[in-house]
Amino acid sequence: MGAGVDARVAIVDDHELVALAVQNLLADAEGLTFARHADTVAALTSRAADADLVLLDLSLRDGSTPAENVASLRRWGAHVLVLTSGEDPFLVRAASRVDVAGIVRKSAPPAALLDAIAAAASGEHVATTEWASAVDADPLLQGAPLTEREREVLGLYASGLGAREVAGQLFISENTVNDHLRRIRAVYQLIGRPATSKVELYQRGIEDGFVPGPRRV
Amino acid sequence: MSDDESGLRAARLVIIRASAFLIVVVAVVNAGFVSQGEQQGFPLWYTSFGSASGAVTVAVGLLAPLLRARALRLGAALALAMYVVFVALFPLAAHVGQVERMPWLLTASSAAVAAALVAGGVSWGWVTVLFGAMAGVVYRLGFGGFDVGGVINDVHAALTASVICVLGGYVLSVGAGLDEAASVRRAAGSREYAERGRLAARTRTAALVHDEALATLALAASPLPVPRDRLAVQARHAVAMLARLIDDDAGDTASFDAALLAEARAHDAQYLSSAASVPPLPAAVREAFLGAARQALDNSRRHARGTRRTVSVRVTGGTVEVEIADDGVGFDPSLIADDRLGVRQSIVGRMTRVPGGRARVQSMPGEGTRVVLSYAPESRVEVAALGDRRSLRRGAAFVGVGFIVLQTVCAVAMVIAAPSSWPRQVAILLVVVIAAEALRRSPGLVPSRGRTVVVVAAALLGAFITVVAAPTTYGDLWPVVALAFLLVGLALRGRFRTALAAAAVVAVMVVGGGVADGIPLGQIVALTARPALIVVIATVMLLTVRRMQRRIAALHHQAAAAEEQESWSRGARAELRERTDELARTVVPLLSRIGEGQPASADDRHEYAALEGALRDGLRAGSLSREPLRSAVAAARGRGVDVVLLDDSDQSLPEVEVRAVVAWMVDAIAQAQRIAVGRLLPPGRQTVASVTVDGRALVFDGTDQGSVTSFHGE
Repeated sequence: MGAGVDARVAIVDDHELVALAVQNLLADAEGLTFARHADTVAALTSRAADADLVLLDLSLRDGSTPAENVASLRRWGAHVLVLTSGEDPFLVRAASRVDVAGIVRKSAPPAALLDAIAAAASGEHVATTEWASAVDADPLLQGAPLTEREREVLGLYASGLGAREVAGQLFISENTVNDHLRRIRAVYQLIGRPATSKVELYQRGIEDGFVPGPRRV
Repeated sequence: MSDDESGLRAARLVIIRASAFLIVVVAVVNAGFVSQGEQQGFPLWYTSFGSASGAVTVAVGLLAPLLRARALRLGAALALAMYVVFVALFPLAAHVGQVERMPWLLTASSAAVAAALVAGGVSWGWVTVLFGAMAGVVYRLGFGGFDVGGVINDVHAALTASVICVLGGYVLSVGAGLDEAASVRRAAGSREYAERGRLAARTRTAALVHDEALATLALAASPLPVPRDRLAVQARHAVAMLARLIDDDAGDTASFDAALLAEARAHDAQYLSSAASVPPLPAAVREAFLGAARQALDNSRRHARGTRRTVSVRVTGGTVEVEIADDGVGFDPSLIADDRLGVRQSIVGRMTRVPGGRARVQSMPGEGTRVVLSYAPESRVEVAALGDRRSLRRGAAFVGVGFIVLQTVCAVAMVIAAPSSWPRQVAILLVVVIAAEALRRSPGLVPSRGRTVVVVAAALLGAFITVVAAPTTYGDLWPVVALAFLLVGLALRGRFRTALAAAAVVAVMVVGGGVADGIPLGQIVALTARPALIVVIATVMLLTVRRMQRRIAALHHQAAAAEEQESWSRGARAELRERTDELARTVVPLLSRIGEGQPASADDRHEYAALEGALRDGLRAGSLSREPLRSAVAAARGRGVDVVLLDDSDQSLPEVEVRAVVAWMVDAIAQAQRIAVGRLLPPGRQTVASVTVDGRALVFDGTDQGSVTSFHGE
């Protein structure tokens, strides 16, 4: 975060205690303030936007789906960082396909959790092993327009390495690794975007540069 | 009521009743003969025995619904035995009395054939057909009556008996087929649903562990500052929830009504129960109903706040309908995108995935929303067990060939008896053969309209020629019976009504001709009985089989549904008990300790973290969640190492390889200081597993070469 205003962090979780823990975690963190806790996304967004980042529990018990929740939080105007307790990869994938900053395990070491929150609050992508392994194992990704190098980076990341170690292993810079991860995330979210018609799919392909568009000579 | 043989039993009922009916007809026809002074002269004991034999058959037919399977077969066997003895004693009776001609009565073997089918199956039936035919030939040779009328009568009697045998065999095969289909379904359903029940219980337990235990343990393990007393409250709550798990199982075994009521209550909806009780539903249908209703209620609560919601159940016939209605804002269903999870997948999809399930969503902006879920048992079993159609066709073909041969015999016999009638006999034989061929060559089971018209026209024309041109005697009327068999063929192939109508017209012609010729009524009855009867019996039996198929299929379906639900609950309960026991050993003690609210030491924290990790592994580690890796990982977590196990394989890895990977990971994780990630890779990669220990990635290589497995030596 740059100097000046703190980023406001809200949390949506069934368990008040988790919210309490996060609140305590943020109390000492620089550049971050705790905004609010709500049980459901609907309860949070019923008020005017008062958070820059929302920590969203992946499996809320109100029957809502990650995709719906993320969509309404994004409309509300906040970035979303998903918290999991170690979910099944299908839920993680469902969340990864929508516009989330990242997916973090609740039981991750506090420092790692705090880093992730800070990065997500400033709109950065948070790559974690949970996210990478779920995405890497998704059969949908097989047909996705990823380069060999990108797949390699994703595989290594999914095996539990951090950006620095991946960079070391592939003899590239850490920044390059992060670039790759960002693109992978973008491509993956693209796969998840529903296209309701073939025409739309084609148009999107052109927009995204995967399909060569009609050209005037 | 449905036992394993209800199909076969129903089939036997149909056949034994047909047998009793045939006996009654035989008695009437015989009375006709007797009234004319024919076929008399037997000693009293023989007549009495014959009557008793018939009475036994009728009695068994009437009492059949009350008899057990064994008693029914024994009764039928008794009736059959009496018939055989009756026929066998004829020489004695003829010797004692004054009999100048073998009586017609002895040749009427159809009823006995039907009894034989019930007593011993198709093979007994054919043996009886053969016995009747042989007895006819032998007795006619020995006691007189080997003339045209006699031979033609015997021919038709044998043919009638054969038709009864083929039809009865078909009915039996339908019954047995239904039973077999049902038992296959039950065996499969029972296993499948026990498994589903287990799965549901496991899912429910996993959800609870995830929502309550995991969250609590993660907080307890983390060094994050959390108020101890609050944590203790949450831990106690988690323990209570886990303890209640096994009691909640009532929610799954409770009646459908109660389960729906619970759903309605949970969503502030009014519940209107149906007047009729809901029939037992297959477990999958139950799950679909409850899941879809829950989703519909949830949608309603989210989009139509503060309105009146009702859940109602209706049972009409076999159809069960659950309606979820509100008087809220409503919406335009056509505007919902196809991929919106709520309506399309969770409601409509859920219902349509079960066979026989449907869902309609009716809504208009401002008009409220009605979601109607319905289920009508599909007659899947009925389709699966059409009976042995092949054997029916084979039997029909056999009878068809016999038919042509025997009608030719009849024609030849008539030409020998009355040489001048040969043009008529040949013409009629030709008509009969052409019609039979037209029927036989029909490509589908049900003959086309054109073929049907040909057969009916041939039957009517042949009957007309015969009645007008020939004197009214049994021998001369052979074509009428032959044509009646053609109509039976028509009925066998599904043209019931046409066959019956044509048979009625033929019967009217014969009666008309007989009256015009001034023949006594008894004789007319005797002449008309066979042609009319075979068509009627064939039609009735086939129609009964159709009805029986539906009824038995429904019966089996209900039994199977009940059994499926039963095994579902059994599976679920067994699984719940296992899980609860396991949780009581592992999770509950630690949660209880947290519930006491004592400050946690670093060792405590590591212990909580180890358990939290183990529970997490239950969700994500797949085939890696096994010994000895589990112990190694627990030990590492106990040292404070953050261990993550991920199974991204498609579970297709051979057991040997999984074991090798596990052994390899055990060694690697034993070295970990801070963090370790073990992962089974998706299929199609160069290696099957990787492990990253404190920032160093290793890949499993499977063989002993390469640096990766020499981790120890470094």
